[in-house]
Amino acid sequence: MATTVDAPTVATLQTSWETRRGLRGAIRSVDHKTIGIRYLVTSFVFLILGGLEASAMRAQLSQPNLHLLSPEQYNQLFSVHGVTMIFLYAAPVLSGFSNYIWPLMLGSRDMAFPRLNALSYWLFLGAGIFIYSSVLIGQMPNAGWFDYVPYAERAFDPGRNVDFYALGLLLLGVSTTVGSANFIVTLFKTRAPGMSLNRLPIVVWGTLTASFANLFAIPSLSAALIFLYLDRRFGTHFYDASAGGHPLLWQHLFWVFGHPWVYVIVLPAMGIVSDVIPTFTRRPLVGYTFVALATVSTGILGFGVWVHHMFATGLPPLGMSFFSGVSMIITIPSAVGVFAWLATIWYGRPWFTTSFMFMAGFIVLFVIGGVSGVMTAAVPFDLQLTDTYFVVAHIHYVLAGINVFPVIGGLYYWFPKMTGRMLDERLGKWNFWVMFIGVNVAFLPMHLLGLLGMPRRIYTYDAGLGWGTTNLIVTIGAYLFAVGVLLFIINVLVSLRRGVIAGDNPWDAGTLEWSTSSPPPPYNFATIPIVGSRHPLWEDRLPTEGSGSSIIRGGPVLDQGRETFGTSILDAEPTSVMQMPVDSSWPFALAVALTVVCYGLLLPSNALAGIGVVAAAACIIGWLEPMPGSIAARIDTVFGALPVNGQGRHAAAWWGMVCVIATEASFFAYLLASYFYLASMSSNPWPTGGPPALKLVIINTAILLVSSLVLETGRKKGERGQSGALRISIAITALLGISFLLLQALEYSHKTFTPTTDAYGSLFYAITGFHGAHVFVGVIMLVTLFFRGSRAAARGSGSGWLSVANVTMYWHFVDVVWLFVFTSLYLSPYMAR
Amino acid sequence: MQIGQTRLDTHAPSFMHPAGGPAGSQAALGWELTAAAVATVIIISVILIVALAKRRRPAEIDESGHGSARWKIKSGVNWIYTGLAITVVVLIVTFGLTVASINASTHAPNTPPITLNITAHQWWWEADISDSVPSHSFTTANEIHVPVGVPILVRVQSPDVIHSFWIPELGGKIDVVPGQINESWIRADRAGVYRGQCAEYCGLQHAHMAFTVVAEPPAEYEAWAAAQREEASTPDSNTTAAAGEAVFTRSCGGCHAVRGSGALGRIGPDLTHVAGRLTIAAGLIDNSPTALAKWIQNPQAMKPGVYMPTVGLAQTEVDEVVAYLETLH
Repeated sequence: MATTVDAPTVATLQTSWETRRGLRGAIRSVDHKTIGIRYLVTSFVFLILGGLEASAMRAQLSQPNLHLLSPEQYNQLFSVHGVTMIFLYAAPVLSGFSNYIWPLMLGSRDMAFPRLNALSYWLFLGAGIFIYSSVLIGQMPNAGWFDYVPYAERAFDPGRNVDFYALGLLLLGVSTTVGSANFIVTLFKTRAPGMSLNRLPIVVWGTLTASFANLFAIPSLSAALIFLYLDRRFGTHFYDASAGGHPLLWQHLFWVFGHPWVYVIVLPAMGIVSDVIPTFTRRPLVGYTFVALATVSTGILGFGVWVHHMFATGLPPLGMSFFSGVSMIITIPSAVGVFAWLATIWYGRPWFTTSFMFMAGFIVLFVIGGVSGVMTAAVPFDLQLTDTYFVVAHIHYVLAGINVFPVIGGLYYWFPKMTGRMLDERLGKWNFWVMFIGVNVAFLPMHLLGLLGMPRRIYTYDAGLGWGTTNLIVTIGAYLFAVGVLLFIINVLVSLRRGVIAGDNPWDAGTLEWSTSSPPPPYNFATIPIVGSRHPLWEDRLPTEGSGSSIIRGGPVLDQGRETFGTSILDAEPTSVMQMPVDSSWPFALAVALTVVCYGLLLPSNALAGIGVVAAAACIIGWLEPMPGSIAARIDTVFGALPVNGQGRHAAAWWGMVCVIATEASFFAYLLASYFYLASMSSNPWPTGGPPALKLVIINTAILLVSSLVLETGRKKGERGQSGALRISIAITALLGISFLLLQALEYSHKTFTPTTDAYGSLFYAITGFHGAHVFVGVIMLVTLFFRGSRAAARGSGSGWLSVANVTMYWHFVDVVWLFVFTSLYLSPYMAR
Repeated sequence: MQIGQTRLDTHAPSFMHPAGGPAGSQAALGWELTAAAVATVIIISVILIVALAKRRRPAEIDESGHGSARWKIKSGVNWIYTGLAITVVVLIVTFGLTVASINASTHAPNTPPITLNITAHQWWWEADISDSVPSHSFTTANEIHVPVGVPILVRVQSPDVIHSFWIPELGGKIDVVPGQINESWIRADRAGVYRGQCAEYCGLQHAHMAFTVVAEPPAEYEAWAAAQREEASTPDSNTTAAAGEAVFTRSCGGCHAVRGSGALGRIGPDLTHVAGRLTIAAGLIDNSPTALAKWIQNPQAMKPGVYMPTVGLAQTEVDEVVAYLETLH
């Protein structure tokens, strides 16, 4: 590879960025490429496990009245198959792609938070192992991936099955949230200079949209799972209709999460298609702007369609018409994608590689999965279709068609970049045709089974119902599909050793990741690219892309340790030099500790859970220890002297806190929505014992408001150099926080009801308790800031100031949440009277 | 006889071939949507195949650029405008058809004279029929008869988990959610036997929670309903059936009711007229003396997980109970 960087500089970069060999190095690595490949491999392991589960079920259903599996085995298999494919394969596999290719596509040296990236992976692995460890005691989740209550309550499902589900998915939710925040901040802050928003590859738009969706959707699932766990373990009544709760609360919370999640597992995959098709048709994507906007709008509309999973639950027709309408409107952005892909192929010059064939095949599967989706959006017909095999067919066209096909096609495309070797094209063609025929033989007839009235989730069926032959065909197709996946795995294993050497850019593609070597060096790019167009490597052939404006080689080097540019949001102008963390074992340790907490809660063993919590706290303290390294305030670059890491909205850490607050705020929003939902649905008097007394709470509200004012004043004074005033204000704020908690405890002691009295009690203590926990965490942050951050800030440390800004922001957030809690729990009962 | 082989199930319960009620308008909409969907898939596939296979002239390269060979690129964005326009029109039509049939699908056209109150249990259906004449109300299980052409209001509730009431050929699903009573309606416009099944996963035996609707001319329905309202007749003393009644009351009456006898249980299905039913165990198997005997001897073997215990009757007692049940027409 021709390089404009001299050998000593390359050696410096290599030393700064490479991960040490051996187990220790493997555990400590924060390299996005390593993490990306781990994500891909792990999720493929889960794909295989999910496939084996499906194979067993298809054997059982291949003929009427078979008894290969007991009803309990079948129910566990279909539940864990869904959980595996939806949570442990479909989303993580896309995280794998994005982790691997984002920094390469964006021209950066790593993600914004490399250690969080490692944490995200280890938590995913921990959650997967946790959920699958249920097989050891023969109690895998058995209430479906949707886990409807009250069937999932302890009264009807007394084993540990559902506890594995609830705790495992909570842990996975942490992983996904952390990962999503990382993607968002990476996109906002660490792109190559010139990689403006209108130059992002579509897969980046897809993952970005998915990440935003996660921040706002996962808290809904987390709230639902926490309620479920509390109901099962402590006998609270969130879902208990006989004590003022309601089973449909679960369904609302689950699907408010669940439908955006569908887009989480398809939008990045559709992005892969939009980025690969241009390479193999030798032209840019038709309608780039339309497709980018369609991606984002799908993500937004995805939050407005959850009720279409609940048309049969007895809702008023007007509401159903609304959700039916939105569910159809969401077809419009999908249609944009279809016509963009078709036009790109039509006006392009197709090159029939395996990767391209998967993308072309995908288009057909996408349309089939799309039209069946519209059919289920039509309320009256959905009342027939829902919970039949028609929906099974639909979701498999979505998951196998819109996720698996782009994933495998994408691996044929990027495998050379990841490994330096090509996958075998001959085997690849076999791979494609077997999978394409298999997927259609398996899932097309399932539509028919649905129309013939076959319900989902039945472990067997009568011979006289006329479903036998079709089921046999489905089973044959499913096995064919499995053979196709097997061919892919064989191809990977063989090509890793014997594949043709790829070179930097085997497909002659136009985007940035193909400009570096295959596989890329640990530092990705010897010189940070400066981007001048959407296809930096095609600039000499595309008439519309201002000629040669990108600088691929000869740009800035940044070799003082792990460094990359921090850039502005819209235009990616460099605003800082980000110093990236070195490898660390804290992410791994923290993930282990949190997994231990889950086992403690599962058993249940308070001692084990306590050990996990203490260990997790220790890991976080160790993690946040200030990093050694350059403390220069500014670094000279070709863009002038840039600050290190930046401050405020120029800093990644600041955006990280914004993401935390966004997801936490939505968590409280879901808690309060649950409150109002149950208030309207409850058969009990609401609130229990009449409207709550206000005296103590008004004092508490005043305390929090004053504390925010004090802290804000202190921060402003600190910025003007009065570091003493800053420290005093921090101390006062912490004391006010503690008094809030004490008064809260006093108020609890006056209450005549407990969390297990009824659903109102459950919600009251859950909402105020979670808020109290946030105040408690805020106090700990303030104390830490008092002893560590504010001193550093006084010495002029940039990271010190960042921590002051972040803790202040968090504290304000906790106070604002209280205003909502106060209005909802304490004032609204008076207004309603 | 093999489990699950019932003489009723000679056709698939396809809602695309409805027998009346909301199923009619739902199927009409369904056929329209299916046609549109199939057409869409075919059209897009054809366009894709042509796009892939069409002959292309040798590379169109614009040599006049900046000295280097440049690709000629057509914008193609008109495809998106055109595609969107067509999509929007199709969607508006679809949405219009949907909204137009929502009401017909959820509400009966006129006030139904008969109300079917369903209580869904793990894994059987309790059916309380209430008529406009209060004394005409009665309780049965897993099977009802309905008069042809008469709408039936269906009100559903659950004391345990969520189920879903669904007779595909007569109407769409209505979920049975604990804590609320949901309503739907059905109507059979043709005489026949229609199979329904629980459509929401509800545990171990979700697969064997079927419901039978026998639609017959109004006169026959009235006769059936009148018979259902009767209490069971007491068998002649000193017959096998009389012995069976004693065993039944002692061993089965804690869970099952036979109105007019000493068996008063409300935990399991009401068996007052069980001999007249086409199937037993919620559609699991055809109703016959052999099947009944097998079922009573070991319900767990036939429907694993069912809440009916194995009572442990002697063979003679089983035969007596079966003989008794066979008298309950």
